[in-house]
Amino acid sequence: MAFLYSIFDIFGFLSEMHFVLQVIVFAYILYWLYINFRENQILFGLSSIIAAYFVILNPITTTTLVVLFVAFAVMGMHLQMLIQFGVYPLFRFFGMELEHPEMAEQQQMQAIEKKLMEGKELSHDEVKFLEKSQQRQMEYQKHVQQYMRPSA
Amino acid sequence: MNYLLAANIWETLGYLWWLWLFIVAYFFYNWAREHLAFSPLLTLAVAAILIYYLVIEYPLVGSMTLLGWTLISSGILYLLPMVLPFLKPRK
Repeated sequence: MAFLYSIFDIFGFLSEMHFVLQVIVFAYILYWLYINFRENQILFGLSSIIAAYFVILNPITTTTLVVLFVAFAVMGMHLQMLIQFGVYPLFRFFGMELEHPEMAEQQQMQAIEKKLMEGKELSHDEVKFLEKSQQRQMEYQKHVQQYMRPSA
Repeated sequence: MNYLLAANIWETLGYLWWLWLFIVAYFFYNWAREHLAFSPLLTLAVAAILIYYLVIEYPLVGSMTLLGWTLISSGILYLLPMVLPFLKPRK
């Protein structure tokens, strides 16, 4: 354990990085406060002092909240685009499907329809799937008819 | 001759490394300037802290920050799934 202190100084590194992160978080909070309270200097000053107290007294909580805010509120749209158009296609390229289960059902239905059009035989699982989906369709139709029936 | 060439390459790489460090330092200074525009003194203080730790003391961490931010915000990752299928061997 001692070599962690002596050779690589990992804990020193972590504490210094923590300090840097805290400075970045405080600067970001100040930026956000200035955007919101630039009309009122007293409000900006007071809220900066409160923010500084939060950053100093609860550094881990504050850092986590700010990181979550930046990741999901500020960069949220970007993150979503990155996952949808960057990561998903990459997974598909490497042969891993990461679709929603409903999408998978639709795709299976399309594959079955294609097979039927081509006149190929369906496998046992596919017949089961078809029966199940038809049954669901019929139930749905029944509900719709019940709803559409004119009230007496 | 080879020795001279090798020395020259290392010297060039050294200059490029300093240039890269300057770019990373400017990136952090720019971040501080953009976020703390209301106070020039605070901008300098925050930029000094960031540059001291992320450029002078741990240049690799600072470099990775800049590279990671560029990777995420530039759209290079969108391009990968478009380019990769062209590299796939045809069956």
